[in-house]
Amino acid sequence: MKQIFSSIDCYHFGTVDPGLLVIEGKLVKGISMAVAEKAVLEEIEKIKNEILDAKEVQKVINKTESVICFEDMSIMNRAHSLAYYELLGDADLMNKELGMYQRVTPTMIQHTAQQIFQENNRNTLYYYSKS
Amino acid sequence: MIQFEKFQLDNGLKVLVHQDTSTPMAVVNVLYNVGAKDEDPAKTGFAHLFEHLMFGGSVNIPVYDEPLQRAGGENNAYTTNDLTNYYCQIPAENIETAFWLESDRMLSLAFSKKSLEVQRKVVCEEFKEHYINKPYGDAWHKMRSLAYTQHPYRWMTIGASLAHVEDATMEDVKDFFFQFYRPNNAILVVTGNVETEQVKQLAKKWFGPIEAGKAYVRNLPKEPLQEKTRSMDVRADVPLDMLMMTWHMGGRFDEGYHATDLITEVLG
Repeated sequence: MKQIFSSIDCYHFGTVDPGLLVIEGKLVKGISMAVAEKAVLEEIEKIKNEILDAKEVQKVINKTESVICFEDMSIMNRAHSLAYYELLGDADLMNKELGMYQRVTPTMIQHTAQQIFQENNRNTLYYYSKS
Repeated sequence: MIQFEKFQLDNGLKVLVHQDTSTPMAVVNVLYNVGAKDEDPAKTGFAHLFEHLMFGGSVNIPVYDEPLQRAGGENNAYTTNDLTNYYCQIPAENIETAFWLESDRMLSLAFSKKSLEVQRKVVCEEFKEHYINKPYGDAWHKMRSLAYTQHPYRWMTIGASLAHVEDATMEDVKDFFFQFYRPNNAILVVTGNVETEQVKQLAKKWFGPIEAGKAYVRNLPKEPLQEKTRSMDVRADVPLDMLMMTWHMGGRFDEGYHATDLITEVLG
């Protein structure tokens, strides 16, 4: 991937209504769009076809947990979160969030990846440099 | 575990209090249940324009920033496709200043012609700077309109077009305010070195007299299941080619939401 993309990122916006999972990257000069696209789709096939190691899943859960705990340290972020979860229906959901992550298993990840990463569900922007 | 207490005023304003006595500060946070997704498709960018207008003076207070700063407070706000959030942090002993400021904004804005002109210009400049002139700045505009055909996530918070902001009239602005910026469409959260009883009294005193508005019933079009892959070619004056792919995922209440969030961590 490092020889293909000068930078690449995977993220989502955490929207209330159904959102978008995004993968975007800037291509190394000289690499074609087709090669870059193929490389990303191969990574995606992996996560659909190979079940992740439980340790690897625990690692990303721990990382998420530490991000949440760090955010919750300031009274400002606690205020934002309480308001946001109350908007979702109940501020106490804020206290249940960690548990929701801890429940995620490698099988759930694979199953969710298979649901999302379907060809008919994909939107692609080929953004070419004119120069 | 974050402890909090919750009560509701007669006008529908929900109030949450979280006490933390380890800090001398307090935060007053007002979330309005309105985001870019609630906009009229022909008048987009309003939720975000309001984020700016809210600092252009309210009915009894000509400037917002100055009295807050004099009380040692600071403030900011953000708009998303789902919500608009205003907050200020202030020494806890001066918390009533924040109640005074926030409640006057909820009561009514000043709706001055000058403020609308100024903020409209600011937002138009922001639009040009970040979404037109910046390299790749239009990518999300294009991606949203490619990925969404029905749901209002198809436009960005800045607006679907510059013209919508340019053409905003005072009537539009007032209508938007009195539809969404009402106590029954807001959540007030106070955190920090405060007592629930004290917050109750202040909330009643400052927010209690504000009249409730008509209940807002959100009824947004659902995005139909995508049946075929879609793509778009863009050519622009940017340094490198960029590949951007998106896939529809579940919303905040989807059972796969947390697994999806972790997938982005694994792939990221």
